[in-house]
Amino acid sequence: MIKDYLFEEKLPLFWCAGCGNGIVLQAILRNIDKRGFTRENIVITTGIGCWGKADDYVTTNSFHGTHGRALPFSTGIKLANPSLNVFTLMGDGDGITIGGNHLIHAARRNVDLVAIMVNNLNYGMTGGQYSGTTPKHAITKTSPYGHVENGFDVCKVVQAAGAPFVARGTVYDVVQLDRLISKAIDHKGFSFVEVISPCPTHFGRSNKLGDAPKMMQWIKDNTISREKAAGMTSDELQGKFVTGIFEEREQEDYSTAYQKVIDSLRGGENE
Amino acid sequence: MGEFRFMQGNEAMTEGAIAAGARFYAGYPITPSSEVAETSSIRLPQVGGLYVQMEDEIGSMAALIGASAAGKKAYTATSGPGLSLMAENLGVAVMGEIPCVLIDVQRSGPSTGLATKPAQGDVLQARWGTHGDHSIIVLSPSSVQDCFDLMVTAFNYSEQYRTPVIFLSDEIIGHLREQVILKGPEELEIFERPEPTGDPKDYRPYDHSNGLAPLSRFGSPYVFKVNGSMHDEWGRPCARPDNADRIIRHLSEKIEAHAEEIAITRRYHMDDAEIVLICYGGAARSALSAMKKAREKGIKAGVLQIVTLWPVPDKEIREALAQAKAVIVPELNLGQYIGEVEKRNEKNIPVIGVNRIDGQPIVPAQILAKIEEAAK
Amino acid sequence: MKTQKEITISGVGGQGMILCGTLIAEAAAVHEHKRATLSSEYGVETRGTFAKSDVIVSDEEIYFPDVTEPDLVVCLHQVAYARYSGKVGDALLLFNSDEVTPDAAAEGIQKGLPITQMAKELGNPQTANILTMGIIAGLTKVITPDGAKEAIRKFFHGKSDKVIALNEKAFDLGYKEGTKLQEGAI
Repeated sequence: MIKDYLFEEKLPLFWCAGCGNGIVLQAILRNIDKRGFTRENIVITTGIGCWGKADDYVTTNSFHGTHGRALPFSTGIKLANPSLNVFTLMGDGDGITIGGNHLIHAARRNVDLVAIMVNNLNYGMTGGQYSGTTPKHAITKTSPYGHVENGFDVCKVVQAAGAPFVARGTVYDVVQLDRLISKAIDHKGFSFVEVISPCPTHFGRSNKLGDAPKMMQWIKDNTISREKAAGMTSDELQGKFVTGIFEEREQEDYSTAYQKVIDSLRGGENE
Repeated sequence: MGEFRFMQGNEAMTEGAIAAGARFYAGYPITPSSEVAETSSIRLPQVGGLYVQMEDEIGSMAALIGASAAGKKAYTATSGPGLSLMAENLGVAVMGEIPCVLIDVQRSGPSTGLATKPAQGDVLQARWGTHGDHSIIVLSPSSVQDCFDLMVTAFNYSEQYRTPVIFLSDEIIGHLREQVILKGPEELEIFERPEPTGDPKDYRPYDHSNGLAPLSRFGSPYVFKVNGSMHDEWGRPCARPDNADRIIRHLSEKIEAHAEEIAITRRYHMDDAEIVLICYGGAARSALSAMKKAREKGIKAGVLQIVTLWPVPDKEIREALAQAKAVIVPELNLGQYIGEVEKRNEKNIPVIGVNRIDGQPIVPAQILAKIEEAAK
Repeated sequence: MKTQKEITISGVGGQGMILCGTLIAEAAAVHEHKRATLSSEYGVETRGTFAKSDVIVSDEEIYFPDVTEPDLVVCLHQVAYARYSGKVGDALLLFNSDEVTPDAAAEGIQKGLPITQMAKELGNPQTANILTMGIIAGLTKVITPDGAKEAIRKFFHGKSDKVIALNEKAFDLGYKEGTKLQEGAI
């Protein structure tokens, strides 16, 4: 039961009406439940921000550290005990902005964990300032005249950094999101899923995208599958969310590789 | 029986950590601490442990804490610039009450400073480097033997008090080579993390109403939450004023109330000492040399070496102040620990600093000159 | 009465002063059962700037590990010679005459040996640091050839017999030259 992983007394969720975080949390817990993982063998690590509050609602082991550092905390946890199922939840501020350096190195290092970055295109918790994924020209609390920088295509960054599993979904298409998270869990190695999610309270309001349903519609209208996007020019893809699996390949994970080093030195000797 | 070896301080720290049971290192190489990383990368996999080099010191500190929460004794080594970067997550270890050992081989600062030259400029940063009220344990070695022995103590304190411990070495001791006896397991007392007991459903990792609660490890039946935000007994977020008051007082008192047990000091010729040198770390070597020379000249000089810098060994410093005509505090900084001595100087005797900040060690003659002056 | 010997080995980074000093101190501590320390000073560059090793060997506990009253100062490079020439009191200043142009007017006792040339003649210029170790042992007698060779063999453990034999030969040559100098100089 998915309820086994939820602190019911903590409900309702503190997230704003129309926020996508609850949808993502549900998709993760559904997948966890399906696999029969236990509260004991899961660790959920979070950063700081709206999505960073997700650990408040789960009954599993959890680690709520500092802004942007969820991945290195997870790295230590997983390497110390490779039998744990580690889920790292980050927002766009955590994942690619203050924690961008950790993200690319985690992708390169290939520690076997699932990283789920919810991208709502701005800093929600602190009131809607721009992040590393805020698109050019967007209005935020700190880009009141329109943003002059470009946002990251996070999946491209993580892919270039060497992650063996990279995918993007949205909270609009929950069926696809479920499937992407499922594949990420089953893939051995660093598995990254970016989830496009609305922030009607800040990003939506600042950019006149309307209320929660309208924002969901906006995400739907701007989503293009990876297959369709393949035939489009970069101008045509401006402002679009390309979804699907971008990388899926076998690659030896860190713990397996390091264990070989240990075994070669110890030659079957027991401690 | 121990093994007699001739080795560098930094190398002996690695051996001490392994002897203490440490099996995880996460770090970012930095002069003059890099030999700890290098020797750890050789030694840890030999004993089934793991070395990981992180992208920076922020990530290193995070990985360290994560590994400890998952049940491994973990350590890192850095120097000033890295300590500054580790300061943020050091607070997570404090707040989450996660044991770990952070070695700082001090070099001359501020900023990049003189990367290869010794200093003791991080004494107050070690105490207050991470923001917010808290207490912390800081140990200062003055020999290669200390690098081994005190490292075991550092891990023991860390587990016993559920706190990060800073092993505050300096370039002098880190790079010094001399003899060391690597003690065997039968000669060492190792404090192992106690396992929680009782029904896992009732496990509250932050309920210290009956002494310090044992810390579980991820993967055990005792599921738990670590939270850098203010939390309740369960580790769940809790912003109630009375709860915040309780937690912050606890973080300080769990160490300060045990200051006497944690205090390690060494006394040299203190029985009849009139001029007392209060010193620590690399500068203690200069002080001991100066004391010996002063005794040869018939001056009653003694040394009180402070090994546990924080919490402050209050009783020992007060006793020294009570018996002395004058106290001299040699430090490789502009006077960071002397304030702790002055604070306790009730009789108002002369408390004299000998300070050097040019990247060179204090030579014994500098201290001897002050001793002779004070003895007049 | 001074019970300890203080030796400074100086040059520029990359000349092997730390290895030379470490092996002397290690031989003294492990094989001669004396107290010994090795401290060093170097710059941020691994190669080319002033660097030194201080070796102290004593029958008693050594507190301050830097040389303050040297018995011997070895200068393997002009940069190091410039720092020490005329400033070492009664100590012998030994310089590598292949690298250093001595100042004839400098005060104190100074002796030169063509260390680089001697190492080349042995067949490998890299043996200069072990050769220097031999010279220091011959001059000061802080370690015995037996103890020194044990330390050398331990350091080169895993290397070919040829390499070990060459370094032992380098030590012997240095020790012979050092002893000759000592008999004439100190």
